[in-house]
Amino acid sequence: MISLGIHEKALEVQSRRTQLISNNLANADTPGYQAQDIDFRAVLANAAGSDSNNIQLTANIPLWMPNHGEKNHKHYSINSSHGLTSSSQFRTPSSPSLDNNTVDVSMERAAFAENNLRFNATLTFINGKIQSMMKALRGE
Amino acid sequence: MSLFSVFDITGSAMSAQSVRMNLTASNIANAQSLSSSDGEVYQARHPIFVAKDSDFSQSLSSEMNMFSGNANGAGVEVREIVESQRSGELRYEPDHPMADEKGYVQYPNVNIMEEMANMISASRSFQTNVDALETTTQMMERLLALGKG
Repeated sequence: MISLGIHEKALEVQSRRTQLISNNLANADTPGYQAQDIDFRAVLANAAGSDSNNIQLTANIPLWMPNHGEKNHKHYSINSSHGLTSSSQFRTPSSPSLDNNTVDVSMERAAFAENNLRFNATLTFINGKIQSMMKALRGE
Repeated sequence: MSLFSVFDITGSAMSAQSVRMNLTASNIANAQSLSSSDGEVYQARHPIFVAKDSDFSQSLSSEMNMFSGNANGAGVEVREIVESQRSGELRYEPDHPMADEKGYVQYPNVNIMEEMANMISASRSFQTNVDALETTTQMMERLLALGKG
């Protein structure tokens, strides 16, 4: 099993963050919607600290997933267990609005762009790792 | 992979904004209509946006569904379309065929300024979601090309 280190987990956190921020953007006009985000540093630190060999099989399994304790469904458990246990948090609104919506579109767009850049950076790191592995394999 | 759900999220938002745009167009088009199909005067229509699964995600601990695909929040939906109950404008036009016995004609309660502002807001929100979708597509393309150099 090749190891891509922390970048593998970083990709997951960044994908998750993309989803959250796009949800914020989608609900920019929904009255009462509270913008959410995750603390990237905290989640990643949490993920990096967890031992990947010591997967807790019941950690992140959705309640409605059937038979998650049985052996033939074990792959669900492993797939859904990343050691990434941190909840999303609500954003502190910079300027209150009349309808209790806390989405600041310009801020969300900036966060989205930043997250995209981080995602690309992570992909570049992984690509570099793969290339160095390929070089070692070829023995050039 | 949670990136796929971005398509659902932004798609639902674009669809909701289209509904809003449609209603705005209808309101502007009927700003001077003296009678709608049911005989009453036309009333401005507005959509009610609701965040999908909002109650669900708040009640369920987010630790539990954090990384399981369609986790908390999955876009926006138009729950209903309401007619504005604001009273419309009464104009004194005694020669008008639809005037009442005192000579007043009931005009729709459409506020053109409000509708224009709504239209611009809907258009901007739509654009934002298209941009988010494009960016996500690029991210996924790069992800697919992983390891190719």
